[in-house]
Amino acid sequence: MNVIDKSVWKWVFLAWVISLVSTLGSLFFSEVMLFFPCALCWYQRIFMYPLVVLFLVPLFTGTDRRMVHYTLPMVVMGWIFALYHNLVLYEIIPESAAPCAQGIPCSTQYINWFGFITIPMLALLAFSLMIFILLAIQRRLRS
Amino acid sequence: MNNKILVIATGVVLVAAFVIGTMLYQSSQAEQREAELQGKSSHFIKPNSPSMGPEDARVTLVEFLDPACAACASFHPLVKDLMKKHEGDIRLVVRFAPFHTNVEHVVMMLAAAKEQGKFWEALEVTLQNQDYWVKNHVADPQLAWELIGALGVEEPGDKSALEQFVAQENADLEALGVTKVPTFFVNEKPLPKFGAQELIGLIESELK
Repeated sequence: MNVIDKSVWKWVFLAWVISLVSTLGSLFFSEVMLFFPCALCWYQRIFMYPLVVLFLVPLFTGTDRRMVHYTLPMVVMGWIFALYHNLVLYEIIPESAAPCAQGIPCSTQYINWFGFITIPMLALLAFSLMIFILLAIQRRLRS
Repeated sequence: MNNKILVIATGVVLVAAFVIGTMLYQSSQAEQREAELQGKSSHFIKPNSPSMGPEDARVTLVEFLDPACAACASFHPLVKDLMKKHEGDIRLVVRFAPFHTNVEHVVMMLAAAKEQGKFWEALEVTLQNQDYWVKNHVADPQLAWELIGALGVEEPGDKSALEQFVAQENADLEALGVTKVPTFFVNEKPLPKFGAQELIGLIESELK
């Protein structure tokens, strides 16, 4: 059978909640608080938003044992962009070398909670958590 | 089965949090905006601002516009309709927000037209023919001048007064925190949210 058991379902649910909170949060920043998203933000959004749907399918059908095969690559791609964005923000990589010299510079900081929580930091945190969760799911599915 | 209900409930709760958060954020922003505008009465109208309608009208509508801005041009008919509908009850004051490249020269021409008693025709012709003199968000003052000059407006030799006019508009923009055009103030109150319905609603509530 292709059915995923309860202990795995919980992890998928957690990953889905993270993707949904990230999606709604980023929409709140751009559409409500009117923070204009820079180019790198868009690349991360491209890999974050579809995850809401991709995680939802196994949550409802409870049958896709191969879900990690197609969700993990998305999460890793998003994670790479988020890491790169953080490096730009913390000036480890110079902005001039970044692909977003036009429009809103990706080194613009819109929020800074407690001195270290920025929007790209939240994105990196979300993608990192999802990587750990998906690896945990894969281990359970194999055993 | 229970799992599905949990998923749906979580989705509904998170989306509801988003909607409620939006409403709370917008109302707190609106309050903050009103507080910012307190004590700034002198920045809404200047003695040389173009104005239409009786000075003691019940509603004074101050509109900050950029002659090169497409949204300003598409809002203009609505403003004219409102002026007609509530004739004698609204005084319209036009202020300028020269945000587009080179548009300050066009604002100067409109100020010259005002001195020569041809402001409203000049504003009309510039807004209606925006496509002609605005290319890729950059104003071409030469082309705009063709249109305004055709109305019989003479180009003044000394432009220092016109330059001063632009400086005055820019200073008030900054004082009032106007960053988008068109921006409307109805009896010095900002719109709760940008939109035609909001403008009509605020004017009608002030007329009651």
